[in-house]
Amino acid sequence: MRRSDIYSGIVLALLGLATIFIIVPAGISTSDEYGLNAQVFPLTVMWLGTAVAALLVVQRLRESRDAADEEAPMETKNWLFIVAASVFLAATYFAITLVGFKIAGVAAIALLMAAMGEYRHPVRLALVSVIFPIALYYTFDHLFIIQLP
Amino acid sequence: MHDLVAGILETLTVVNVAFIVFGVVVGIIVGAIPGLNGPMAIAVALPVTFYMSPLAALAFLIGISKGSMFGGSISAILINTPGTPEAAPTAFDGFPLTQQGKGLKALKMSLYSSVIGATASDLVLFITAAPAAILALMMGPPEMTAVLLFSFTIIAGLAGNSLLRGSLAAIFGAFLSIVGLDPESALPRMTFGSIELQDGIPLIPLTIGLLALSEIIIQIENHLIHGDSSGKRASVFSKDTPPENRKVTAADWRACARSIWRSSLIGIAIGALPGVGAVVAGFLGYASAKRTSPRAANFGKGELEGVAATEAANNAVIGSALIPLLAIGVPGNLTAAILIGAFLIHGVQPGPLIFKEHGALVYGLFTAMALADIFNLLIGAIGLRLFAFVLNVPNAVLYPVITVLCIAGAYSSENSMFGVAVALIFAVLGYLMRKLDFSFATFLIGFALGRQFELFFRQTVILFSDQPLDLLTHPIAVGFVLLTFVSLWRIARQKKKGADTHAESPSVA
Repeated sequence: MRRSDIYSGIVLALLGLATIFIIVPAGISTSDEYGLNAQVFPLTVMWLGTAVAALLVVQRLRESRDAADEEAPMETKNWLFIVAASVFLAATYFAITLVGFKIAGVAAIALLMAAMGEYRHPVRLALVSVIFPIALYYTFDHLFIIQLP
Repeated sequence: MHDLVAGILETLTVVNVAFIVFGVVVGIIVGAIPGLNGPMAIAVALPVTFYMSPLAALAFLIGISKGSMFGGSISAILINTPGTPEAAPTAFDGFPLTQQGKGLKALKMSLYSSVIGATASDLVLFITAAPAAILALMMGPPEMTAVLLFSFTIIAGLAGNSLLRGSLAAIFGAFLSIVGLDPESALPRMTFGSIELQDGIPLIPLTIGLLALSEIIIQIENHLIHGDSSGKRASVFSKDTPPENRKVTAADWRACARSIWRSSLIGIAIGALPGVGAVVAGFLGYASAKRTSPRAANFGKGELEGVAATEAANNAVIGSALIPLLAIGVPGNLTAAILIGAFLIHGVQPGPLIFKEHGALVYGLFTAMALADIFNLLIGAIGLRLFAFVLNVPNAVLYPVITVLCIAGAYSSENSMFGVAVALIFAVLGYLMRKLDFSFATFLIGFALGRQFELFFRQTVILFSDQPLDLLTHPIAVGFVLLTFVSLWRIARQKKKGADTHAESPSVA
C-alpha cells in the first residue's frame, strides 16, 4: 500500500488545499453577526484533513521499501472497470429519469445478469429481469405508498 | 397499582396483541428492505392509527419500531446491505460470516442480542424513567460536545490497518456532513445552488452506496476480470455446513455475553440522550467490543461478537429513547418524535403528568414493549430460515436484483432521484475506498457525528464565549473531556508499543 498511500495522500492534500482556498470560500458565505462563523468548522476540519494527508505522504516516504508493500492495489484494468461501471450507473440513472423505473430496471438487471454469465440461462435471465422490477414497483406503490418514477 | 393492572390487562386483549404481532412483522419486513426504515414505516402507519384505541395505536407503532431495528440486520448480514443505517456496523462482520457459511448463526446471534438489548432497555425505562430523564436534562450543549468528542476516539478502534488512513476517512466524512444549511444562520453551505443539498447529504442513500453497491461492484469486477468466485456465499443449508455453523453454541454465548451487556448499556445511555441516536450507539457498541475483545484482530473478518455488540447497542436505544419522551415530553430520537404525534392524536400529552393522568396507558405501553420483544424473538426465530434462503440464490441473479433494490431504496428514502444519485456517487467512492484500504466505518462515523458535534460545539461557544471558565462548573463535560484525553493517551501508548514490537521483530526473526 506504500505507493498508493503516497499518491492518495498527495491527491487528498491537494484536494484539501483546493477546498480551503477555493471551494469553501465559494460555497459558504461568511456571517460574523452571531456565534461562530459558518466557515470555521469546515475550514478547521479541512486543515486537519490536509495535515493528516501530508503526514501520510511523509510517513510513507520515510518507510523503507518493501517489495510486497509496493504492489499497486489498483491496476489499469481496475481503473478501466470502475470507469465502465460509473458509465453504467450513470446510464441507469438517466434511463430511470427518461423511461421510468420499470423499463430501466428490466434493462439494468438483464445487462448485469448477462455480464455475470447468466446469458447461459436465457429463460431465467428473462424471467428475473422482467418480473423483479415490476413486482418491486407495485410493491412499493401499493404496500409502502411510494411511487417509484 | 390499579393503573398497572389495568394497563397490563388492556394490553393483553386479543386485538392489541394482534396489533403488536402485525407491527413486528411489518417492522421486520420494512427494516430488511434497504432504504426503508422504522421511522419511515411509523410515519406511514400513523394515519392508520387514527381509528384505533390509544393503546392499540402505540402498541402497533412500537411493534414496527422493534421489528424494524432487528430487520435492518437481516439484509446487512445476508447481502451486505444494511436495511437501516443503524445496522451498518452489523454488516462489517455479519457478511463475512455469511461468506463463511455462518449466515444463519449470525442471524440468530443478531436476533438474540437484539432482543436482549431491547429488553434491557425496556427494563431501564420501566424502572428509572423519571430519574433517568432528570439526568438526561442535565446534558446540555457542553456535555453533548464532550460526549461526542469522546465518541470520536472510537475511530482509532475502527481505523483498520492504518490509523492515518482511518482518520483521513473520518475527517472527510465529517467535512461532507457540513453540507446543507448552517445550523445557526441557516445560510446554505456547499450546496452550490442545489435545493436538495440544503437538507444535507442523506445518510440512507449514502450508506446504500458506500456499503452495498460498492460491494456489488467489487463482486462483479471479480467475476469479470478475475473470473473469481471468492465472493460466492456458502449455503447455510448445505450438507457440508457443520451444525455449529448454523447455531449459536454455548462457546459463542460465553464469547459474546460481555459485549452484549456492555453494548446494551451503551445503547441505553445513548438512547436516553436526546438527539444522538441508534447509529452512534451501534458504532460505539461495535468499537467498544473490538477494543476489549481478545479476538480484536478478527473483527471485520467475520467475528460473531461484532454482530452481537452492534445489535445489542442499536436495539437498546429503542426503550431508553422513550425515557425523555415520557418523563419530560422531549423525544430522544426520530421514532420518539413521531410517537409524540401518536400520543397527541389520541389526546395524550407526553410529559411529567402522563404517569398521573394516563397511568394505565403508560403501563399498557410498557407491557406492549415487553410483548413486542417476545414476538420479535418468536417471529424472528421462525423467519430466520426463510430469510437465509436468500443465500441459495446464485450470485449472478442476486447481485443484479440487489442493485435494483438498492436503487429503489435510495429513491424511496428521499422520494426523489437525488437519493439515487447520492447512492451511485458513493458506490464509486466506496469502491475506491475499499481498493485503497480507507475505512468506510470511520468515514460513516465522521459523517454521522460531524454535524451533531458542530451544532453542540457552536451552541457551547454561544453560551460560554463570555465566561469560558464557567465550563469547569459542568462536571459531566469535564469528565468526558478527561476521558477523551485518557483515551488518546492509551491509543498513543498502544501505537508506540506496536511500533516497538514491529521494530524489534526482524531481529527476533
